[in-house]
Amino acid sequence: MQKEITLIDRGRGLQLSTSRITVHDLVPYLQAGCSHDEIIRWIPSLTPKEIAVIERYYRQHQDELDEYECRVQAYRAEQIQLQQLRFPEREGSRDERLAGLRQLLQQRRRESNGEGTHS
Amino acid sequence: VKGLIADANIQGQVEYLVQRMQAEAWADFWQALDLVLRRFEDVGLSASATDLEVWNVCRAEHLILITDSRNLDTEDSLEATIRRDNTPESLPVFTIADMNEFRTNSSYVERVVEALYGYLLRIDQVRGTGRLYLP
Repeated sequence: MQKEITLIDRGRGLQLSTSRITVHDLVPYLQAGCSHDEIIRWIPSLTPKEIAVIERYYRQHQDELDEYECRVQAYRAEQIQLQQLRFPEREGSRDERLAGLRQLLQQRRRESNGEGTHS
Repeated sequence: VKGLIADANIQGQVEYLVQRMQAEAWADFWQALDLVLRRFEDVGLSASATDLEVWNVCRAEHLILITDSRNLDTEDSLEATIRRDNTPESLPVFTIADMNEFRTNSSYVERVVEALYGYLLRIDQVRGTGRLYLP
């Protein structure tokens, strides 16, 4: 007999009883109107039945979940701003940035080969 | 770093990311860093593993976790685990900043690849930072 799929709380928001996937994980897909096939393309471990359980819950609690998603986005934007102060994005053209990464790669290879970083 | 591992909610995106990381323009980076993509089943994690179990396996196996946590700082047990167990030597956890862009915008994916390689090439400088967003 197949186990019933339910939503349970393990301290990270409601998630499927059968997997780590949470209701919040699927909210952006459901907001974007993604089909079940498209969701499975990105999260291949999900079954149509599991998606249906989350979708049903989403439709019943849409306002609350959409509002939570807005807060998630705002929190994320704030964290990204803080990160950029600490680790600024590389500047310059794509070619210049790629050249910088290649220098780092060469340096790493020299270090792996036991060559020092200075003469 | 022994490789990358995708959280359960981001498997397809990370498979695609790795394809782009292995594509011609970036293949020598992938090879030089000696990366592999591991899956939950490769490292004994079940589909319903807890955040703590995932964190512990990533730490023990020296794997970089790529995730898409959609929980707020105060409620996400992965955040709580990072805060509690993170050490100066811990590998960071990477989160793709905008999954909608990732799904629909190829140049955004390229920025994610570039940012991830940028961090992987100086991994010792970003150990202990906890979560880092890409790009």
